[in-house]
Amino acid sequence: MTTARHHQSVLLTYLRPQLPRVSLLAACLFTGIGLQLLGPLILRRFIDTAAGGASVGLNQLWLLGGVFIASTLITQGVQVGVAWFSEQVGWRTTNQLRRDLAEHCIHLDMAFHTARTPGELIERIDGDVTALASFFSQFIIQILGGAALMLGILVVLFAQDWRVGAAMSTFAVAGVLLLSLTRNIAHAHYEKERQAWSELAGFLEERIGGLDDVRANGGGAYVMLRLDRLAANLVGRGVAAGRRGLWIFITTNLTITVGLSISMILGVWLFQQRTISIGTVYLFFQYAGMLGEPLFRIGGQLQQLQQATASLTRVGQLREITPQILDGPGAPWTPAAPAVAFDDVSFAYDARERVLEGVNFELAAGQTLGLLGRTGSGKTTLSRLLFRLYDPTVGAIRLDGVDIRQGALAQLRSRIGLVTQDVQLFGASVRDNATLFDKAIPDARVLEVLEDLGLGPWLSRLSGGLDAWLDGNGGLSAGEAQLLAFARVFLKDPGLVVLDEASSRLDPATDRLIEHAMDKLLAANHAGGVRRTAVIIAHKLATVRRADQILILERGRIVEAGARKQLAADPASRFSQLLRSGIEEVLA
Amino acid sequence: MTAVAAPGLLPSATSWRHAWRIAAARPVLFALSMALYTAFYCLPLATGLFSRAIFNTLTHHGAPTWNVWVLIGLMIGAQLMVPVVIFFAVWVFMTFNYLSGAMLRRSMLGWLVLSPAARPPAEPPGETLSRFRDDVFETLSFLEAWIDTGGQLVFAVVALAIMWSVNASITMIVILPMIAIAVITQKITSRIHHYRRIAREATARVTSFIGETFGAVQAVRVAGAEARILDQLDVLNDGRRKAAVQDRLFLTLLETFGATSASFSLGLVLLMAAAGMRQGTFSLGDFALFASYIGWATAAPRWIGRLLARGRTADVSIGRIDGLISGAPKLALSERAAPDHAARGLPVYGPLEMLTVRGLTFRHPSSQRGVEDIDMTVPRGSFTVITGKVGSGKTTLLRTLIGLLPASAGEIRWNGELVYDPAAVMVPPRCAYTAQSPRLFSESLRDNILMGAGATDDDLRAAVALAILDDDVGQFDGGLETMVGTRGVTLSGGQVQRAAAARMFVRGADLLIFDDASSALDVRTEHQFWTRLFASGERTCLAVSHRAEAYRRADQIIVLDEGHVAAVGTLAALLKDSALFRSIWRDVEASSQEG
Repeated sequence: MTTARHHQSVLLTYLRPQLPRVSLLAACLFTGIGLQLLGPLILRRFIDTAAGGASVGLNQLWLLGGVFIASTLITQGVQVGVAWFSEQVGWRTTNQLRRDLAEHCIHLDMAFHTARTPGELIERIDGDVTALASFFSQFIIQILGGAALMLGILVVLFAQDWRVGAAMSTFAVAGVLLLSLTRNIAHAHYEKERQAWSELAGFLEERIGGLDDVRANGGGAYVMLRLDRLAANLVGRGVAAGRRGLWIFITTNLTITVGLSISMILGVWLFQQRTISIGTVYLFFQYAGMLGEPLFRIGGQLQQLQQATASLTRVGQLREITPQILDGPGAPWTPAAPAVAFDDVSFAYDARERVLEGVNFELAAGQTLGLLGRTGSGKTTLSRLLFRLYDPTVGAIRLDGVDIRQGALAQLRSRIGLVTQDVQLFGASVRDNATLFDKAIPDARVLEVLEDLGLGPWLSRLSGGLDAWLDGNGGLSAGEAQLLAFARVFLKDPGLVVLDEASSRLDPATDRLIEHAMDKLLAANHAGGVRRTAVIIAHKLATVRRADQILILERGRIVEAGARKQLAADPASRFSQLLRSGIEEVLA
Repeated sequence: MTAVAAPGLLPSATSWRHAWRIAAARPVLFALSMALYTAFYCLPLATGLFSRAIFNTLTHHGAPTWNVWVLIGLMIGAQLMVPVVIFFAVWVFMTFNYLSGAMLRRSMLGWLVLSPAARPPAEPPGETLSRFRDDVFETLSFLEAWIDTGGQLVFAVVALAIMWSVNASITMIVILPMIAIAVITQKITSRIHHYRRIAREATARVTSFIGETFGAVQAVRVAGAEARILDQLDVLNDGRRKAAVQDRLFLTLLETFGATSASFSLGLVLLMAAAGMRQGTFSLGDFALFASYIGWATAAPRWIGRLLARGRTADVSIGRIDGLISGAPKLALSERAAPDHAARGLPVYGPLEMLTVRGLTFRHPSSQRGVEDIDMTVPRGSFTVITGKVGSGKTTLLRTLIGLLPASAGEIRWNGELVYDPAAVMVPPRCAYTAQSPRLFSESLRDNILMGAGATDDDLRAAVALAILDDDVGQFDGGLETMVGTRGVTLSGGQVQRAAAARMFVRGADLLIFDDASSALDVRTEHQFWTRLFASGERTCLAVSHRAEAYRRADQIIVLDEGHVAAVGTLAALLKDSALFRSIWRDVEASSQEG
C-alpha cells in the first residue's frame, strides 16, 4: 500500500537523526523486558522451595525474596530512562516535522493561504503533529519490545512443556492477527474527529480575533448559534471515534481471556498428571497474565497508529499540495535600482474575471511611478504580481529586461520592499518585529532607522527599548505600526520599493513623518548613491507629486499613462481633470 | 497574564468546585460513568478470590470447596465480563466528556461575545485558542481522574479488607511502604504544577507564533523572511521540548514510584511469608491472592497522587480559563444553558435625543496612555468628528465609550439617563460600530453583514448601498452569497471596510460610531459615502477621521491631544481659535495639494 510506504518513509526520515537516542531507548526497554521475564521465574523457585516443607533452609527463601526486591529497584531506574529518551525522541522528531510543515506551507501559493484560517494551520502544523508525538517515540520500540517480551515468554513456556508452548504460541499468533484485522475500524472516524476539530479551531480563532466587531454590533447570539452547530458536530464525531477505537481494547481483552483459560486448563491438567510442579502452574498463570501486556502494548500502538495514521494522512495531504509559483534558474541581477517593465500583462485570481487586462508600461531605473485608480481597479494586484505572490495569466513582468520568473524567488524578493497599510506584528521584541528576526542587523542600525522615522519617542516610552515585547496588537497605534513597516523596508534596503496605500490611515502629523520617510526612501539606496525605483499607490496628490510617471487604472486596464508633468500640463488629460476637480483630495 | 494560585500539594478548592459543577451539570451521565468504571475496576476482586480457591484446592489446603474445573469456569466468566462493562463505560463517559467540553467552550465564548462585563483578551488569538483547546482538555482530564480514582479506591479498600482477613500482619507490611511512597510522591508532585505551567506557556508560544506567521504570510514572503521565521520557530520548538521533557519526567517518576512500590511490597510478602509457607500457615492460594491484589491495592497512593497531579494541572488550566473570562461569575464556567448575560432590568433607553459624556477616563494598564476627563455632547441628527495626532487617544475614546474598554471614571448619559454598563447599552439598537481594522469572517458576505441581524432584504440592500458596496456586490458572481475567505482576504482593503460599514448600517442603530471608516476609501468613493450617509439628515454619527470633507461636514470637531480634549468647535471656529487644529489642518491641506 502506497500510504503505508509513505508513512514508513516519514517515520524513518525523522527517526534516523535520532539513532543514538533511539538505541539507548531500546537498551532501557530490553533491560526492562529481561527483568519482567525474571520475576515469575524467581517466584516459581520460591514456591517450589517453600513447598519442600520445613526441611528447606529459610535463608534460601530470603535470598530469593532479596533478589526479587533488587530487580524491582533496577526496573525503576530503567523506566525513568525509557521516559527520558522516548520524550526526547518524540519531541525532536515532531519539532523537525513542525518546522518542515511550516516551511512547506509558508512557500505555498497565496491561493492556499486565502482559503485557510491561521487557526486551521495551527491545527494542521501543531495539532496533527502533536498527535504523532507518541507514534514517533514509541511505535517501533513498543512493537519490537512487545514482540520480544512475547517471544521470551513463549520460549520459557516451551522449555517447560512443549504442549503449553505450542498452545500459547498459536494463541499469541492468532491474537496478533486478530488485532491487526481490527486496527482499521476507527481510522476514518478519527480523521473525521480531527477535521471537526480544525473547523472548530478555525472558527474560534477568527471570532476571537474579531471580538470587537462582534460585540459592538450585537452579533454574539449569531456567533453562538454557529458555535453550537460546530460543537455538536465535534461531539458526534468524537464519541463515534471513541467507541470505534474501543474495539481494539475489547478484542485484546477477549484474546487475553482465551490465553489465560488455555494456560490454566493445561497447567491444572499437567499438574494433575504430575508432569509439572505447583510452582510451574503458578508460572503459567503469571506468564499468561503477562502475555496480555505485549498484546495490549501492540494493540495500544495499533490504536495510536490509527490516530497517527489519520494525522499522517492529513500531513501527507498537506505535503502533496505544491506551489505553482516556483524558483526560476536565476537571473543576472545586481542590487542596484532596476528598470521595471510590464509586457502585456493580464491576470485573473480565478477563471471568471480578469483583474488586470493587457497592462503595458515601462519604468526606467530610479524613476517613480504614481499608480492611480479607484478601489478595486487592480492596483494592489499589480503590486502582488511584482513580488510573484501570483504569476500573470498572460504576458511577462521584467526587471532590467529579465522576466522575473527567471530569477529565484528569494533573489527577486530581496530586490523589492513593500509597505502595505496592514501591518502584522509578531508576539516578539521590537527588534525582531523591525528586523523580522534578522539577527545579522546590528542594534545600532535598527535604532538609527527607528529614530530617523520618528519612532524614537515611542521607543523611549517602552521599557526595555529594543527588547520590549510587542503583543499581537498591544500598545501600537495604526500610525506607529505603519512606521514600523517602513522600518522593515529601510532595514532591508531594496532597489525597488512598492508603497501600497501607505499613507491612507494616518493622522496628519504621522503623515508628515511618513512623507519624510518616503523622501528618504526614494532618495537613495543605503548601499549605492542612486535613486531607488519606486511604485507608489496613493490616495493623495501629495504622494503623487513625487512621481515621474503617472499611470491610471480602471477595471484592470490602463486608461492613461505618461510623464506627470506632461499630463498635468495637458488640460484634456484625466490627470489634469483630477487636479482641477472640485474635490481637493483627488482620487489617487 | 493569568493569575495562578500558589503551587501546593493539593489542587485549589476552585478546581474541585469547578470540576464538581461540570459533573453536576450532567448528573446522570457522570454517575453512570462512575458506576460503570467502578464495576470495571472491581471485577479483578473476583478473579483473585477464584485463583486463591483454585491453588488451595490443588495443594489440598483447607476444606475443598468446589471442583477445580468449576472454579476455573467461574474465573473465566469473570474475565469475560470485563469487555462488556468497559464498552458501556467508555461510551457513557465519552458522551459526558465531549458534551462537557462543548459546554465549557460555549460558556467561554459566550462570555466573550455576549457578556457586557467581558473584555477582549489582550493576547494573540493563538494563545486564546490554546485556552479553548488545551486548557479545556486538562480541566476535563481532572474529572476523568475522579472517575478512574473512584473506582480504583473502591477496589483498593475491598482488596485490603480481604487481605487483612487472610493475614493481618503481612497486610500491615504491605501497607507500610505505601505510606513512605505517598510521602515521596507528594514531594515530586509539588514540582509538577510548576513544570506543567512552563510547558503550557511554551506550547502557547509555539501556537501563537504559527498563527502570527500565517496571519502575516504575505508580509513574511515579500520580506524574504521565511528562513528567519523558521529559525525562530526552531528556537520556540526547542524551548517547548525542554519544558515538555521536564514535565513528563516528573510525571513518570510519580507513576513509576507507584509501580515500584507494588513490586517492592510483593518482595516483602515473599520475605514475610517464607516461614509461614514452609510451615503451611500461609497457603499458596493466599500468596496467589496477595500477588493478584497487591499491584492495584498498593497503587492507591499512586492513583490519589495522579488525581492530585491532574488537579494541579487543572488548577493551571482553570486559572487560564478564568483569566480569559476574568470577571465572569464563577458559575459561568459550568452553566448548562447559554450564559444569559443580556442586560436585565435596565432603564429604558429610548430613541436617542442626546448623548452626554462627562469626565470619561481610561488608561491602558501597560502603557499608561489613554483618555482622561473627556466631556462631549452629541445631539440627535448631528455629526461629530474626533481628530488628533497619532496616539492622542481617538480609538481609545471610542472603545471606552462603547464599553470595549472599562472606564475608570466618568459617566455616560443617554437622554439624560445614566448608562451604568456601556457594553450592555451602547450596542444595537442604540449604537453600532465599525472598528479601525474591521474583521470579516470566512462565511458569505451576507452572513458577514447581517451577523444575525433580523433585517429584511430591503434593509440589507439599503445598508449595502449606503456603504457604497452595491457596485462591488453587483460585480461578484455570487453577489451577497460570495464567500469572503479567511478574514475577508478575497476582498480588497476598501471592500472589507465598506462591508463592515454595511454591517454597522444594517443594524438600524440610532448612533453610528466609526473609527476612520473612510481611511481605505479613495476620495471619490469617500465623497459618495458621506453624501449618501447624510442624504436623509436623520443620522447621528460619531467618527474618528482626518479627512477635510469630514471636517467640513461636521457639526462639531473634537480635537484630542495626549488623551485630553484640546478644543471643540466647528471647522471655522477651530481654524480661528485652536493652534493645534491649525497645525493638523495644515498637514491635511499640505498632503492634499500638489506641491
